[in-house]
Amino acid sequence: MELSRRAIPYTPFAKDLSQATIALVSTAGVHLKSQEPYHLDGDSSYREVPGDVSAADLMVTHGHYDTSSALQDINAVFPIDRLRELQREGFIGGVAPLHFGMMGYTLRMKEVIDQTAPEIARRIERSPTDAVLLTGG
Amino acid sequence: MHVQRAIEANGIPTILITVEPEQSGQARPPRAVQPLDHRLGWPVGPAGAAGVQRKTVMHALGCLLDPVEPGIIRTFED
Repeated sequence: MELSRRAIPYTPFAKDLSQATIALVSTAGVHLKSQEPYHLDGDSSYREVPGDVSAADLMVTHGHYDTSSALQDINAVFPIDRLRELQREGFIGGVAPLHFGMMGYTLRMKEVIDQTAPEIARRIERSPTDAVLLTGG
Repeated sequence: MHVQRAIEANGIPTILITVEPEQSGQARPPRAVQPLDHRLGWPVGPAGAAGVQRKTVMHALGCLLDPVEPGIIRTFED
């Protein structure tokens, strides 16, 4: 279904946070160190980040903001450790098995709109995820 | 953020933490929050500042429970 730009898709949140499984999606250029970095001149692809990832195995590649904080501590842009702590404390129900990174800078916006964004959305819908926390750079 | 709109359109609630409200606002986000003292490069909080990052995440997730009109970016301070 095509939504007009003016329309804002909206899904009510109908759970207790303490029962909810949360996924992260970031356009800060997050990826595993073992994955292919994003192309700095523009990249519409995405990277899958497993829920049990170690923060030390993550990095960012992005040419349009100062990445020094994120490279020092990935939680500055991708708070995976904070989510785990909040799960242990019972503030949230769980950390999703799948998270996603993108670079968020591309001249091929049509690819993002027609392919990347719908594909990430489909994959999240099929994974046990109750809500998504998104971050930019 | 097109990916946020796509996820929300598929029936999963979302909340965006942004430090670029003008740019994010143009994409008409379903829900968004701006931590006022945070900057590009550390939207969740400074490197190593787990307490600040934690507050930001808790505040953002709390916004899921307290809906306002879609498209509005709420601000907060640590």
